[in-house]
Amino acid sequence: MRGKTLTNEVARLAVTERRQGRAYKVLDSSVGNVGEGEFWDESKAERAAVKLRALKSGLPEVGKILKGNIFDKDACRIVHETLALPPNLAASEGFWRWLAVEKFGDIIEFRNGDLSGSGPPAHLANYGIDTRAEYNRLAILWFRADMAYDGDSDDPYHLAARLSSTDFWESGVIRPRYGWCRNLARELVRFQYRDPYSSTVKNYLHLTNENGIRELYKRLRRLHSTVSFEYMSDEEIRDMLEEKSSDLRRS
Amino acid sequence: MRARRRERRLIPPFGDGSSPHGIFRLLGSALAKCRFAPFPNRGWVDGETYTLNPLEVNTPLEPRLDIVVDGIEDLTDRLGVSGGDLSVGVSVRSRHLKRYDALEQWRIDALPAEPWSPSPNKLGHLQSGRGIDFIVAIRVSRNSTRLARLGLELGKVLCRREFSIRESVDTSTFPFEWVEFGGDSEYPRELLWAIRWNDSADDEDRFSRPVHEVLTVLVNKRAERSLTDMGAVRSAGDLAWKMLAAEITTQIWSDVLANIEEEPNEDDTETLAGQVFAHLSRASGKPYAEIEGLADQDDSLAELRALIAKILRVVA
Repeated sequence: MRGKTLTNEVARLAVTERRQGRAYKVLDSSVGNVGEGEFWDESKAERAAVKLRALKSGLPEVGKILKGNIFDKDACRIVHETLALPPNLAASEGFWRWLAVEKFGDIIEFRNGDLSGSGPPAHLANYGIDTRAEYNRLAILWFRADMAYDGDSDDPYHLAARLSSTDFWESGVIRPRYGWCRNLARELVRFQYRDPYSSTVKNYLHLTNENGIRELYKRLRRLHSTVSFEYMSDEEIRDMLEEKSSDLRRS
Repeated sequence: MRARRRERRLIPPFGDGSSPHGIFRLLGSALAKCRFAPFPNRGWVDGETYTLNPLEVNTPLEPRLDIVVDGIEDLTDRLGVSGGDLSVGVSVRSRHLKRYDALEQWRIDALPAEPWSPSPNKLGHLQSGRGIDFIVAIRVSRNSTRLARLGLELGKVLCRREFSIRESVDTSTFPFEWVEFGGDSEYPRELLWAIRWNDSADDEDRFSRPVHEVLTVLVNKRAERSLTDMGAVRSAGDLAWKMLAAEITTQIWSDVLANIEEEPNEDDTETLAGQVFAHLSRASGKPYAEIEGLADQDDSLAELRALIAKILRVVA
């Protein structure tokens, strides 16, 4: 399947111009392509954007960080389910950049700029500009849903939808290679966010203390160089997480 | 030698006083005879890295692995375990899709006798046209007192070998086929490449069609192995492919610029002419009205060649 892409230069120009209040239109000749065959149906992006705007407008009036976390828990499902991306597009930085700039600019600004609209704008990296896709906010939401997808459950997004810190997803699951083992990613979510119905972000291990979950990330990274997590059962992973964290600081 | 260099020997020093050196030696070469091929019609890859050529970027991978473990009996004897305590697994890793999936595993003494291919179902969600790695590993697959005493708990990897498929740095901007030149072919045996302009492309606005309707680039099949091998040399950074792509692209684009009747619209990204003008305008910063002149500045086409080299990132 074919998808549209934007280069860093074109994306940067579009975002910068629009921030100046200009109605900048990216010329079709500046839009690249990835893949072959039929074009991916862009109306999926428009449908997802409508849903995300509705989600945004219904958020409770809470602090900025919590508001962002509440948004993410449902947004990741919307992005993953509605976009229904084929692998060649999900793997393309240029495609994610095009999506973020051309279809979800207001969402990126809402989520990563100042939520009140009066502070600094989102960083260009949140659009995937001059960086890898894993810093693109939209891609982060998609990977969160994809990596914690539980195909054996009636609701395959139940783990991704646990109220949790985005730092946990970005630093502990999406970026490190051990998190790419889907069985480990799912168990790590269950381990760190034990209450599926919690209305606050209840971290099991301390999120920011150096002897909290950050130390567990380091241990998992070291362990992954000599242990193949992808062959381990869920139970074996659960036991390993408990054992490797028994001396770490809880929240 | 290269195969041995990339193997990972991960066994820690033994805690029971026994020397690990004999085991190290065995593990150092245990997977040296493993081989892989990315497609059914391709031979075994020489080494561990295969770079997709431009034609293959959108072709689904159908890898084969020849999984051979040397010295199994020696290894199990020295470790004091049975064949069921160790397994050989094949995993796949996609950096772009952030997946690390187990594909298959066997007892170390029950490996497939023939080259093995993963089921297409297991690879479908990983067919991204981008880089991907296949990892063959010998690992501890059962809790055993003897292995635990050596510090080798369940899941521990003793040795592994990685085979990588890398995407071509620059994908083709034209349809591309490997062809036997010479013999009955209309092309001389020694020719490296040729452009076959399609019959339907004789009309005046032939460049105002998608490139696959206009032409096909034919490359001499005799050069396929050499080009592929050169592409696999890591330090060469795909230079052979880029040079070939730059030469062919220069020929096609200069033909377009020299023969086009009317410059394309700036929102035209579907046709050959639209793509040529868009690329060159973006790379040079020139308006469309000045792009056509790139073909008649001088015989060497130096400016056009430089822009194409820039677009294809020939010189890093």
